[in-house]
Amino acid sequence: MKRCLVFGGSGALGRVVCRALADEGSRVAFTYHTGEAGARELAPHLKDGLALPLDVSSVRDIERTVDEVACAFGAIDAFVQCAGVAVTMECGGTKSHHRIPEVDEGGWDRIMDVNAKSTFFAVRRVLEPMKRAGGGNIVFIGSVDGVKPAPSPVHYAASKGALAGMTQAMAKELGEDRIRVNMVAPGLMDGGLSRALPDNLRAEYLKHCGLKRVARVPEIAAVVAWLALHNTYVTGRTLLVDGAL
Amino acid sequence: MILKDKRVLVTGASRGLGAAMARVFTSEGARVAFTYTRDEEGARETEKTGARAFMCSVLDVPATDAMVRELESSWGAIDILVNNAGLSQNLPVALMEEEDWDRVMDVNVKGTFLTTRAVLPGMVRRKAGTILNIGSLAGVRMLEAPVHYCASKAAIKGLTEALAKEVARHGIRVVCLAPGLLEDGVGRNLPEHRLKDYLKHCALGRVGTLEEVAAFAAFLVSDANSYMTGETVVMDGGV
Repeated sequence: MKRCLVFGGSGALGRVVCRALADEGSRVAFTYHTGEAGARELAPHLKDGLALPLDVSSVRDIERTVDEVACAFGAIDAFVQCAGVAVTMECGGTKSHHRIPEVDEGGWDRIMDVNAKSTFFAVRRVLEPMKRAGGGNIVFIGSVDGVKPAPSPVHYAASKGALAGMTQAMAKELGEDRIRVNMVAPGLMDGGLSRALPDNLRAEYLKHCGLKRVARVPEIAAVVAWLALHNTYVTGRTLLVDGAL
Repeated sequence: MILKDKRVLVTGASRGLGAAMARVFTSEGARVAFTYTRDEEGARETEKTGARAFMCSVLDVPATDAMVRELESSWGAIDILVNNAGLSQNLPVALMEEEDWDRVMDVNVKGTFLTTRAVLPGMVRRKAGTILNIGSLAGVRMLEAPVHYCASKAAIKGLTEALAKEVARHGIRVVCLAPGLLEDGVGRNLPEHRLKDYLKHCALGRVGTLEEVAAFAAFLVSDANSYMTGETVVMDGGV
Protein backbone atom coordinates (compact mmCIF):
# COMPACT_ATOMS: atom_id res chain seq x y z
CA MET A 1 0.00 0.00 0.00
CA LYS A 2 1.42 3.36 -1.09
CA ARG A 3 1.38 6.27 1.36
CA CYS A 4 0.65 9.51 -0.46
CA LEU A 5 0.68 13.16 0.53
CA VAL A 6 -1.23 15.60 -1.68
CA PHE A 7 -0.93 19.38 -1.21
CA GLY A 8 -4.02 21.26 -2.37
CA GLY A 9 -6.25 18.19 -2.18
CA SER A 10 -9.53 20.08 -1.94
CA GLY A 11 -9.07 21.87 -5.28
CA ALA A 12 -10.67 20.75 -8.53
CA LEU A 13 -7.68 18.70 -9.66
CA GLY A 14 -6.38 17.77 -6.20
CA ARG A 15 -9.69 16.20 -5.25
CA VAL A 16 -9.73 13.92 -8.28
CA VAL A 17 -6.06 13.04 -7.81
CA CYS A 18 -6.77 12.03 -4.18
CA ARG A 19 -9.67 9.85 -5.27
CA ALA A 20 -7.60 8.25 -8.05
CA LEU A 21 -4.80 7.42 -5.61
CA ALA A 22 -7.23 6.01 -3.05
CA ASP A 23 -9.06 3.98 -5.72
CA GLU A 24 -5.81 2.14 -6.35
CA GLY A 25 -5.52 1.24 -2.70
CA SER A 26 -3.27 4.03 -1.46
CA ARG A 27 -3.50 5.74 1.88
CA VAL A 28 -3.89 9.45 1.20
CA ALA A 29 -3.22 12.52 3.34
CA PHE A 30 -4.19 15.84 1.79
CA THR A 31 -4.02 19.48 2.73
CA TYR A 32 -6.59 22.18 2.07
CA HIS A 33 -6.65 25.88 2.64
CA THR A 34 -9.81 27.76 1.66
CA GLY A 35 -11.69 24.69 0.40
CA GLU A 36 -12.93 23.34 3.72
CA ALA A 37 -16.25 22.23 2.27
CA GLY A 38 -14.48 20.33 -0.50
CA ALA A 39 -12.18 18.74 2.05
CA ARG A 40 -15.11 17.56 4.17
CA GLU A 41 -16.73 16.04 1.09
CA LEU A 42 -13.54 14.28 0.04
CA ALA A 43 -12.39 12.87 3.37
CA PRO A 44 -14.94 10.00 3.68
CA HIS A 45 -13.81 8.64 0.28
CA LEU A 46 -10.27 8.11 1.49
CA LYS A 47 -9.79 5.01 3.57
CA ASP A 48 -7.62 5.80 6.61
CA GLY A 49 -6.99 9.19 5.06
CA LEU A 50 -5.98 12.46 6.66
CA ALA A 51 -7.30 15.96 5.96
CA LEU A 52 -5.07 18.77 7.20
CA PRO A 53 -5.58 22.53 6.96
CA LEU A 54 -2.51 24.27 5.58
CA ASP A 55 -1.63 27.68 4.22
CA VAL A 56 1.42 26.91 2.10
CA SER A 57 2.71 30.46 2.37
CA SER A 58 4.15 29.51 5.76
CA VAL A 59 7.27 27.34 5.57
CA ARG A 60 6.92 26.47 9.25
CA ASP A 61 3.38 25.22 8.72
CA ILE A 62 4.48 23.21 5.69
CA GLU A 63 7.14 21.47 7.74
CA ARG A 64 4.80 20.80 10.63
CA THR A 65 2.21 19.29 8.28
CA VAL A 66 4.70 17.06 6.47
CA ASP A 67 6.01 15.86 9.83
CA GLU A 68 2.51 15.09 11.00
CA VAL A 69 1.80 12.96 7.93
CA ALA A 70 5.18 11.23 8.12
CA CYS A 71 4.50 10.42 11.74
CA ALA A 72 1.00 9.07 11.05
CA PHE A 73 2.00 7.04 7.98
CA GLY A 74 5.52 6.03 9.06
CA ALA A 75 6.91 7.00 5.64
CA ILE A 76 5.83 8.71 2.41
CA ASP A 77 5.92 6.95 -0.97
CA ALA A 78 4.49 9.74 -3.10
CA PHE A 79 4.14 13.50 -2.83
CA VAL A 80 1.89 15.43 -5.20
CA GLN A 81 1.88 19.22 -5.20
CA CYS A 82 -1.47 20.51 -6.47
CA ALA A 83 -1.61 23.71 -4.38
CA GLY A 84 -1.33 26.74 -6.60
CA VAL A 85 -2.80 30.13 -7.40
CA ALA A 86 -3.40 32.15 -10.52
CA VAL A 87 -4.66 35.69 -10.76
CA THR A 88 -7.49 37.17 -12.78
CA MET A 89 -9.00 40.63 -12.46
CA GLU A 90 -12.61 41.59 -12.88
CA CYS A 91 -12.70 44.71 -15.02
CA GLY A 92 -16.04 46.17 -16.08
CA GLY A 93 -17.72 42.77 -15.87
CA THR A 94 -15.13 40.98 -18.03
CA LYS A 95 -12.20 38.95 -16.81
CA SER A 96 -8.67 39.75 -17.80
CA HIS A 97 -5.30 38.62 -16.58
CA HIS A 98 -2.62 40.85 -15.13
CA ARG A 99 -0.37 42.53 -17.62
CA ILE A 100 3.17 43.46 -16.62
CA PRO A 101 2.43 47.00 -15.31
CA GLU A 102 -0.29 45.57 -13.07
CA VAL A 103 1.95 43.07 -11.31
CA ASP A 104 3.23 44.71 -8.14
CA GLU A 105 5.80 43.31 -5.75
CA GLY A 106 3.19 41.86 -3.41
CA GLY A 107 1.46 40.07 -6.28
CA TRP A 108 4.72 38.72 -7.62
CA ASP A 109 5.78 37.45 -4.20
CA ARG A 110 2.47 35.80 -3.49
CA ILE A 111 2.42 33.80 -6.72
CA MET A 112 6.05 32.78 -6.42
CA ASP A 113 5.63 31.86 -2.75
CA VAL A 114 2.57 29.67 -3.19
CA ASN A 115 3.52 28.05 -6.49
CA ALA A 116 7.30 27.72 -6.29
CA LYS A 117 8.76 28.40 -2.84
CA SER A 118 6.23 26.21 -1.00
CA THR A 119 7.04 23.36 -3.35
CA PHE A 120 10.74 23.52 -2.59
CA PHE A 121 10.24 23.58 1.16
CA ALA A 122 7.70 20.79 1.05
CA VAL A 123 10.07 18.55 -0.92
CA ARG A 124 12.91 19.44 1.42
CA ARG A 125 10.85 18.10 4.31
CA VAL A 126 9.42 15.10 2.44
CA LEU A 127 12.88 13.73 1.63
CA GLU A 128 13.52 11.95 4.91
CA PRO A 129 10.16 10.10 5.10
CA MET A 130 10.52 9.26 1.41
CA LYS A 131 14.00 7.85 1.90
CA ARG A 132 12.56 5.76 4.72
CA ALA A 133 10.13 4.33 2.17
CA GLY A 134 13.12 3.30 0.03
CA GLY A 135 12.44 5.99 -2.58
CA GLY A 136 9.32 7.28 -4.23
CA ASN A 137 7.68 9.65 -6.66
CA ILE A 138 7.27 13.42 -6.49
CA VAL A 139 4.84 15.01 -8.93
CA PHE A 140 4.31 18.73 -9.50
CA ILE A 141 1.46 20.35 -11.35
CA GLY A 142 2.83 22.82 -13.85
CA SER A 143 1.06 24.54 -16.66
CA VAL A 144 1.36 24.78 -20.39
CA ASP A 145 2.03 28.48 -19.65
CA GLY A 146 5.38 27.58 -18.13
CA VAL A 147 6.41 25.45 -21.10
CA LYS A 148 5.04 26.84 -24.35
CA PRO A 149 4.71 30.52 -25.25
CA ALA A 150 1.12 31.41 -24.34
CA PRO A 151 -0.45 34.68 -23.27
CA SER A 152 -0.53 34.44 -19.47
CA PRO A 153 0.39 36.52 -16.43
CA VAL A 154 4.19 36.66 -16.33
CA HIS A 155 4.49 35.89 -12.64
CA TYR A 156 2.25 32.83 -13.03
CA ALA A 157 4.24 31.57 -16.03
CA ALA A 158 7.50 32.28 -14.19
CA SER A 159 6.34 30.32 -11.13
CA LYS A 160 5.44 27.31 -13.28
CA GLY A 161 8.70 27.65 -15.20
CA ALA A 162 10.48 27.63 -11.84
CA LEU A 163 8.83 24.29 -11.08
CA ALA A 164 10.11 22.90 -14.39
CA GLY A 165 13.65 23.91 -13.42
CA MET A 166 13.23 22.41 -9.97
CA THR A 167 11.93 19.20 -11.51
CA GLN A 168 15.15 18.75 -13.46
CA ALA A 169 17.58 19.71 -10.72
CA MET A 170 15.78 17.73 -8.03
CA ALA A 171 15.64 14.64 -10.27
CA LYS A 172 19.41 14.81 -10.67
CA GLU A 173 20.08 15.30 -6.97
CA LEU A 174 17.59 12.73 -5.69
CA GLY A 175 18.14 9.94 -8.21
CA GLU A 176 20.62 8.19 -5.96
CA ASP A 177 17.91 7.96 -3.30
CA ARG A 178 15.58 6.39 -5.86
CA ILE A 179 13.33 9.42 -5.72
CA ARG A 180 11.86 10.42 -9.08
CA VAL A 181 10.62 13.95 -9.72
CA ASN A 182 8.30 14.87 -12.57
CA MET A 183 5.82 17.51 -13.54
CA VAL A 184 2.51 17.28 -15.34
CA ALA A 185 1.75 20.42 -17.33
CA PRO A 186 -1.93 20.47 -18.25
CA GLY A 187 -3.58 22.64 -20.84
CA LEU A 188 -6.93 24.17 -19.96
CA MET A 189 -9.22 22.09 -17.77
CA ASP A 190 -12.96 22.14 -17.18
CA GLY A 191 -12.30 22.95 -13.52
CA GLY A 192 -9.85 24.66 -11.20
CA LEU A 193 -7.69 27.64 -12.10
CA SER A 194 -8.64 27.26 -15.77
CA ARG A 195 -12.09 28.64 -15.04
CA ALA A 196 -10.52 31.99 -14.18
CA LEU A 197 -9.26 32.40 -17.75
CA PRO A 198 -10.61 35.39 -19.69
CA ASP A 199 -13.04 34.40 -22.46
CA ASN A 200 -10.87 35.66 -25.32
CA LEU A 201 -7.96 33.47 -24.17
CA ARG A 202 -10.25 30.45 -23.81
CA ALA A 203 -11.42 30.95 -27.40
CA GLU A 204 -7.81 31.28 -28.52
CA TYR A 205 -6.93 28.03 -26.73
CA LEU A 206 -9.74 26.11 -28.36
CA LYS A 207 -8.76 27.44 -31.76
CA HIS A 208 -5.22 26.09 -31.45
CA CYS A 209 -5.91 22.92 -29.47
CA GLY A 210 -5.90 19.87 -31.75
CA LEU A 211 -8.63 18.07 -29.82
CA LYS A 212 -10.76 21.28 -29.87
CA ARG A 213 -11.86 20.92 -26.29
CA VAL A 214 -10.54 21.60 -22.80
CA ALA A 215 -9.35 18.69 -20.65
CA ARG A 216 -11.66 16.92 -18.26
CA VAL A 217 -10.07 16.96 -14.82
CA PRO A 218 -9.87 13.13 -14.53
CA GLU A 219 -7.83 13.01 -17.76
CA ILE A 220 -5.11 15.06 -16.08
CA ALA A 221 -5.48 13.29 -12.72
CA ALA A 222 -4.89 9.92 -14.40
CA VAL A 223 -1.42 10.98 -15.59
CA VAL A 224 -0.59 12.41 -12.16
CA ALA A 225 -1.74 9.24 -10.41
CA TRP A 226 0.22 6.98 -12.76
CA LEU A 227 3.41 8.94 -12.13
CA ALA A 228 2.81 8.94 -8.37
CA LEU A 229 2.06 5.23 -8.01
CA HIS A 230 3.59 3.27 -10.89
CA ASN A 231 6.49 5.24 -12.31
CA THR A 232 9.93 3.70 -11.88
CA TYR A 233 12.13 5.19 -14.64
CA VAL A 234 10.74 8.57 -15.74
CA THR A 235 12.44 11.41 -13.89
CA GLY A 236 13.29 15.07 -14.42
CA ARG A 237 10.55 15.42 -17.01
CA THR A 238 7.64 17.70 -17.72
CA LEU A 239 4.77 15.81 -19.33
CA LEU A 240 2.58 18.11 -21.41
CA VAL A 241 -1.05 17.06 -21.46
CA ASP A 242 -2.62 19.69 -23.67
CA GLY A 243 -4.59 17.99 -26.44
CA ALA A 244 -1.97 18.98 -29.05
CA LEU A 245 -1.88 22.73 -28.48
CA MET B 1 -6.71 -4.33 -16.91
CA ILE B 2 -6.20 -0.89 -18.45
CA LEU B 3 -6.35 -2.22 -22.02
CA LYS B 4 -9.33 -4.52 -21.65
CA ASP B 5 -10.68 -5.61 -25.07
CA LYS B 6 -8.38 -3.24 -26.95
CA ARG B 7 -7.17 -4.46 -30.32
CA VAL B 8 -3.50 -3.62 -30.71
CA LEU B 9 -1.01 -3.92 -33.55
CA VAL B 10 2.68 -3.72 -32.56
CA THR B 11 5.35 -3.65 -35.26
CA GLY B 12 8.63 -5.46 -34.62
CA ALA B 13 7.76 -7.59 -31.61
CA SER B 14 9.83 -10.74 -32.01
CA ARG B 15 12.15 -9.50 -29.27
CA GLY B 16 13.18 -6.54 -27.13
CA LEU B 17 10.73 -3.78 -26.28
CA GLY B 18 8.18 -4.92 -28.88
CA ALA B 19 7.98 -8.40 -27.33
CA ALA B 20 7.71 -6.88 -23.84
CA MET B 21 4.84 -4.64 -24.98
CA ALA B 22 3.03 -7.62 -26.54
CA ARG B 23 3.38 -9.42 -23.21
CA VAL B 24 2.34 -6.52 -20.98
CA PHE B 25 -0.52 -5.37 -23.24
CA THR B 26 -1.92 -8.91 -23.28
CA SER B 27 -1.76 -9.10 -19.50
CA GLU B 28 -3.62 -5.77 -19.40
CA GLY B 29 -6.49 -7.34 -21.34
CA ALA B 30 -5.61 -6.43 -24.94
CA ARG B 31 -5.74 -8.58 -28.06
CA VAL B 32 -2.37 -8.18 -29.75
CA ALA B 33 -1.04 -8.77 -33.25
CA PHE B 34 2.57 -8.11 -34.16
CA THR B 35 4.95 -8.08 -37.08
CA TYR B 36 8.42 -9.53 -37.42
CA THR B 37 10.80 -9.96 -40.31
CA ARG B 38 13.47 -12.59 -39.65
CA ASP B 39 13.49 -13.81 -36.08
CA GLU B 40 11.21 -16.87 -36.29
CA GLU B 41 12.25 -18.15 -32.89
CA GLY B 42 11.50 -14.82 -31.20
CA ALA B 43 8.17 -14.57 -33.01
CA ARG B 44 7.16 -18.03 -31.72
CA GLU B 45 8.10 -16.89 -28.23
CA THR B 46 5.94 -13.75 -28.50
CA GLU B 47 3.09 -15.86 -29.90
CA LYS B 48 3.03 -17.77 -26.60
CA THR B 49 1.44 -14.68 -25.01
CA GLY B 50 -1.54 -15.29 -27.28
CA ALA B 51 -0.49 -12.62 -29.78
CA ARG B 52 -0.91 -13.16 -33.53
CA ALA B 53 2.24 -13.09 -35.62
CA PHE B 54 2.56 -11.62 -39.12
CA MET B 55 5.82 -12.01 -41.00
CA CYS B 56 5.73 -8.61 -42.62
CA SER B 57 8.25 -5.85 -43.18
CA VAL B 58 7.07 -2.33 -42.36
CA LEU B 59 8.39 -1.37 -45.80
CA ASP B 60 6.24 -3.92 -47.62
CA VAL B 61 3.15 -1.90 -48.49
CA PRO B 62 1.00 -4.68 -50.04
CA ALA B 63 1.74 -7.07 -47.16
CA THR B 64 1.02 -4.36 -44.58
CA ASP B 65 -2.27 -3.45 -46.26
CA ALA B 66 -3.26 -7.13 -46.40
CA MET B 67 -2.44 -7.58 -42.71
CA VAL B 68 -4.47 -4.52 -41.72
CA ARG B 69 -7.44 -5.74 -43.83
CA GLU B 70 -7.17 -9.19 -42.24
CA LEU B 71 -7.08 -7.76 -38.69
CA GLU B 72 -9.93 -5.36 -39.35
CA SER B 73 -12.10 -8.13 -40.71
CA SER B 74 -11.36 -10.63 -37.94
CA TRP B 75 -11.22 -8.14 -35.04
CA GLY B 76 -13.61 -5.52 -36.39
CA ALA B 77 -11.04 -2.76 -35.94
CA ILE B 78 -7.57 -1.81 -34.75
CA ASP B 79 -7.81 0.49 -31.72
CA ILE B 80 -4.13 1.01 -31.07
CA LEU B 81 -1.08 1.02 -33.32
CA VAL B 82 2.42 0.89 -31.84
CA ASN B 83 5.14 1.81 -34.32
CA ASN B 84 8.01 0.05 -32.64
CA ALA B 85 9.99 -1.63 -35.45
CA GLY B 86 13.36 0.03 -35.65
CA LEU B 87 17.04 -0.61 -35.97
CA SER B 88 20.40 0.99 -35.42
CA GLN B 89 23.98 0.38 -36.25
CA ASN B 90 27.04 1.76 -34.48
CA LEU B 91 28.93 3.62 -37.17
CA PRO B 92 30.85 6.88 -37.34
CA VAL B 93 29.87 9.21 -40.19
CA ALA B 94 33.09 8.50 -42.06
CA LEU B 95 32.17 4.83 -42.41
CA MET B 96 28.45 5.38 -43.00
CA GLU B 97 27.51 4.36 -46.53
CA GLU B 98 24.45 5.64 -48.31
CA GLU B 99 22.84 2.20 -47.92
CA ASP B 100 23.38 2.36 -44.14
CA TRP B 101 21.67 5.74 -43.96
CA ASP B 102 18.79 4.56 -46.14
CA ARG B 103 18.23 1.34 -44.21
CA VAL B 104 17.94 3.09 -40.83
CA MET B 105 15.82 5.95 -42.13
CA ASP B 106 13.61 3.57 -44.14
CA VAL B 107 12.77 1.16 -41.34
CA ASN B 108 12.55 3.73 -38.54
CA VAL B 109 10.84 6.64 -40.28
CA LYS B 110 9.31 5.49 -43.57
CA GLY B 111 8.11 2.28 -41.91
CA THR B 112 6.32 4.33 -39.25
CA PHE B 113 4.73 6.46 -41.95
CA LEU B 114 3.65 3.50 -44.09
CA THR B 115 2.16 1.46 -41.24
CA THR B 116 0.36 4.53 -39.91
CA ARG B 117 -1.03 5.29 -43.35
CA ALA B 118 -2.37 1.75 -43.62
CA VAL B 119 -4.09 1.78 -40.21
CA LEU B 120 -5.34 5.37 -40.21
CA PRO B 121 -8.41 5.08 -42.50
CA GLY B 122 -10.10 2.62 -40.13
CA MET B 123 -9.42 4.89 -37.15
CA VAL B 124 -10.73 7.93 -39.03
CA ARG B 125 -13.90 6.02 -39.95
CA ARG B 126 -14.54 5.13 -36.32
CA LYS B 127 -13.37 8.53 -35.07
CA ALA B 128 -11.21 6.82 -32.45
CA GLY B 129 -7.74 5.41 -32.14
CA THR B 130 -4.35 5.79 -30.54
CA ILE B 131 -0.95 5.67 -32.16
CA LEU B 132 2.22 5.26 -30.12
CA ASN B 133 5.53 5.87 -31.82
CA ILE B 134 8.70 4.61 -30.20
CA GLY B 135 11.28 7.35 -30.34
CA SER B 136 14.50 7.63 -28.40
CA LEU B 137 16.37 9.90 -26.04
CA ALA B 138 18.83 10.09 -28.95
CA GLY B 139 16.20 11.96 -30.95
CA VAL B 140 15.59 14.70 -28.42
CA ARG B 141 18.90 15.34 -26.76
CA MET B 142 22.53 15.77 -27.77
CA LEU B 143 24.22 12.41 -27.33
CA GLU B 144 27.14 10.53 -28.79
CA ALA B 145 25.18 8.17 -31.00
CA PRO B 146 25.05 7.23 -34.69
CA VAL B 147 23.85 10.21 -36.72
CA HIS B 148 21.42 8.24 -38.88
CA TYR B 149 19.75 6.76 -35.80
CA CYS B 150 19.49 10.15 -34.05
CA ALA B 151 18.13 11.75 -37.21
CA SER B 152 15.54 8.99 -37.60
CA LYS B 153 14.33 9.30 -34.01
CA ALA B 154 14.18 13.10 -34.23
CA ALA B 155 12.08 12.57 -37.36
CA ILE B 156 9.69 10.37 -35.35
CA LYS B 157 9.22 13.21 -32.88
CA GLY B 158 8.39 15.63 -35.70
CA LEU B 159 6.10 13.08 -37.32
CA THR B 160 4.30 12.59 -33.99
CA GLU B 161 3.63 16.31 -33.60
CA ALA B 162 2.40 16.93 -37.14
CA LEU B 163 0.29 13.76 -37.20
CA ALA B 164 -1.26 14.61 -33.81
CA LYS B 165 -2.34 18.00 -35.15
CA GLU B 166 -3.68 16.48 -38.36
CA VAL B 167 -5.75 13.65 -36.88
CA ALA B 168 -6.90 15.20 -33.59
CA ARG B 169 -10.15 16.34 -35.19
CA HIS B 170 -10.93 12.67 -35.85
CA GLY B 171 -10.52 11.83 -32.18
CA ILE B 172 -7.20 10.08 -32.75
CA ARG B 173 -4.29 10.58 -30.36
CA VAL B 174 -0.61 10.30 -31.27
CA VAL B 175 2.09 10.04 -28.63
CA CYS B 176 5.83 9.35 -28.81
CA LEU B 177 7.60 7.40 -26.07
CA ALA B 178 11.33 8.08 -26.07
CA PRO B 179 13.29 5.68 -23.85
CA GLY B 180 16.88 6.09 -22.84
CA LEU B 181 19.18 3.10 -22.80
CA LEU B 182 17.42 -0.21 -22.15
CA GLU B 183 18.64 -3.59 -20.99
CA ASP B 184 17.96 -4.99 -24.46
CA GLY B 185 17.27 -3.67 -27.95
CA VAL B 186 19.28 -1.26 -30.07
CA GLY B 187 21.49 -0.34 -27.09
CA ARG B 188 22.62 -3.97 -26.74
CA ASN B 189 25.83 -3.55 -28.71
CA LEU B 190 26.79 -0.24 -27.21
CA PRO B 191 30.56 0.28 -26.74
CA GLU B 192 31.58 -0.06 -23.08
CA HIS B 193 32.65 3.59 -22.69
CA ARG B 194 29.26 4.84 -23.85
CA LEU B 195 27.38 2.59 -21.44
CA LYS B 196 29.59 3.84 -18.61
CA ASP B 197 29.04 7.42 -19.67
CA TYR B 198 25.27 6.89 -19.73
CA LEU B 199 25.22 5.39 -16.25
CA LYS B 200 27.36 8.22 -14.94
CA HIS B 201 24.91 10.84 -16.21
CA CYS B 202 21.73 8.92 -15.43
CA ALA B 203 20.25 10.14 -12.14
CA LEU B 204 18.84 6.71 -11.32
CA GLY B 205 22.20 5.11 -12.20
CA ARG B 206 20.85 2.18 -14.21
CA VAL B 207 19.50 1.32 -17.66
CA GLY B 208 15.76 0.90 -18.08
CA THR B 209 14.05 -2.48 -18.06
CA LEU B 210 11.83 -3.55 -20.95
CA GLU B 211 9.08 -4.32 -18.48
CA GLU B 212 8.89 -0.81 -17.02
CA VAL B 213 8.93 0.86 -20.43
CA ALA B 214 6.21 -1.50 -21.65
CA ALA B 215 4.11 -0.75 -18.55
CA PHE B 216 4.39 2.98 -19.24
CA ALA B 217 3.51 2.37 -22.90
CA ALA B 218 0.37 0.53 -21.77
CA PHE B 219 -0.70 3.55 -19.72
CA LEU B 220 0.09 6.00 -22.53
CA VAL B 221 -2.18 4.18 -25.01
CA SER B 222 -4.94 3.52 -22.48
CA ASP B 223 -8.26 5.37 -22.38
CA ALA B 224 -7.25 6.92 -19.04
CA ASN B 225 -4.65 9.03 -20.86
CA SER B 226 -7.17 10.60 -23.25
CA TYR B 227 -5.94 14.22 -23.36
CA MET B 228 -2.23 13.65 -24.08
CA THR B 229 -1.46 13.96 -27.77
CA GLY B 230 1.44 15.31 -29.80
CA GLU B 231 3.70 14.83 -26.80
CA THR B 232 7.07 13.08 -26.71
CA VAL B 233 7.59 11.57 -23.29
CA VAL B 234 11.17 10.75 -22.35
CA MET B 235 11.80 7.80 -20.03
CA ASP B 236 15.52 7.77 -19.32
CA GLY B 237 16.12 7.70 -15.58
CA GLY B 238 17.11 11.36 -15.63
CA VAL B 239 20.05 11.63 -18.04
